[in-house]
Amino acid sequence: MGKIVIESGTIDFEPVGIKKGCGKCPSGCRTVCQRKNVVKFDLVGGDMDDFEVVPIVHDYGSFRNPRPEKEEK
Amino acid sequence: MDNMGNIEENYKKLDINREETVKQFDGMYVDFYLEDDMFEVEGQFFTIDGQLYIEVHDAVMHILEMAGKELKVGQIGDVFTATRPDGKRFYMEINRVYYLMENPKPEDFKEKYEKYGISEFFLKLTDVMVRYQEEEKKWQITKNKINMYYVGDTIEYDTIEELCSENADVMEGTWQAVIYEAYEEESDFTEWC
Repeated sequence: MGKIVIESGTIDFEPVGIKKGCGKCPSGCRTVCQRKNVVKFDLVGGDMDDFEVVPIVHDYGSFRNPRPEKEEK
Repeated sequence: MDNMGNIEENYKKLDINREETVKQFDGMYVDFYLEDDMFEVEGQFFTIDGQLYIEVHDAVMHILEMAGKELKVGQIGDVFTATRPDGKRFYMEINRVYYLMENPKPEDFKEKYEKYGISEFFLKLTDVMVRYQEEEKKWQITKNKINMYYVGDTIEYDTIEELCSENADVMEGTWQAVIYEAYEEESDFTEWC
């Protein structure tokens, strides 16, 4: 015997978290892209070609390699 | 039904100070939230002298900037905290703790169940969930399980082989084999609408 559908889906909007829109975004929220789809930005092909995302990660120190304590005056 | 009461009941208790938990989580992957922000952070647990830490792997930019590279995990009662090396402390919610599986085959799902008792698997990028129903010995798949605006059908199969072959178009990717999730999945999502 094959399969049984045990719960039916509900669609209010077209799903946006599928393969495009969210891309590799790790947030798991799916709402930013939803808003983007609703607003429908008019991007002309090539407009974003020069855009590069550079993550900013501050160096707050490390637990593995703690900085040597400064000598007390 | 009182939904708020339901949420409380479904919240799973976790004690990260237990030696067994620290040992089990060491090296495992974790998705979590900082403060009340809705954007999930991805990381991996490591330990120093029996204390849990998280190496931050990925997040949206403003959270990555705030979190930094390493966080010390703490717990006060049921509340978790994450502290940066410079002493800045955040309220943290641990959402899922999991192993990663790359393009898993049916035997990989079965191995995770038999070896670790894991019955919940999640493909985060496209919100596909696979669950093994132990009592009925059935495998279920739900596409778009977590999406706020769309809940896919849940389809049940006798075997994981059958599930994988009939859903081959959505099975590729990096799956999470979930050993801890903060909330129980609601079996009937429509009650919340």
